[in-house]
Amino acid sequence: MQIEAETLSGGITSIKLAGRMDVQGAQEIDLKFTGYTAKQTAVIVDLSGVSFLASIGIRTLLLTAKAVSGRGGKIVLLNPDDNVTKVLEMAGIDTLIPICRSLDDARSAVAA
Amino acid sequence: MLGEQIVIANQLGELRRMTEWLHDSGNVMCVANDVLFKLDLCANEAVANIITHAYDDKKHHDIILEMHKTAEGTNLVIRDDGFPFNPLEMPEHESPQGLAEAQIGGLGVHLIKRMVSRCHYQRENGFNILSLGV
Repeated sequence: MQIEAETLSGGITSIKLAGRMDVQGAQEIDLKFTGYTAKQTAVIVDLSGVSFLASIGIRTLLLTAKAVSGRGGKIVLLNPDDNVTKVLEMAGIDTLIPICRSLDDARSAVAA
Repeated sequence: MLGEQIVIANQLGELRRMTEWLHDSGNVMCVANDVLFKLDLCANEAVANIITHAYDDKKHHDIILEMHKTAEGTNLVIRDDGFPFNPLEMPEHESPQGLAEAQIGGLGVHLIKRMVSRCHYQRENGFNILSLGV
């Protein structure tokens, strides 16, 4: 998997993920993902490049979301494809971490 | 009946080879992409569970997967010689009220049950046999 972090205006951190978020994929990004979001309180996770999501990948997303939320921050998911959206909905994650369909919506959702 | 089979070892590093097989076989059998996505997810969840929980020795075990196209749709059959385990008997996953209460883990079997339209488990001659249909 690929992972890229970028700081947007307003102190927002954007994490762009790409590839298969399966056992191997989650192992490849787990440490960096935790590191990039360790002290952030406004996080957008861009899932548009993720082609597959298994429960191990949901674990990665949940752990980070819990940490961000635990320090009073906000986190959203941006533009997962149809299949990945279905997995998120079946797992009930869409009710815990909002899914946004545009960068503007995502920015507004995590803004303080 | 058109069918394909793969034998993988009980190592997590084998999951990508299994996935490649699943997509190659699915393409040969003209299985639709959304069906393949579901079977891909089910295979990854079920086989990762088997590799992680079904054995308490450090020996090599074969896990056998078969894909068949039938009149009802596409079936995936997963066979392992681990401890008897019927994933279909696992208690229903409860949706958490908020992030703080959300449990980490336990979602794999829930996703399998939600993804398939047919599922069946049997224990036969020391093997777990899980049949999943989409």
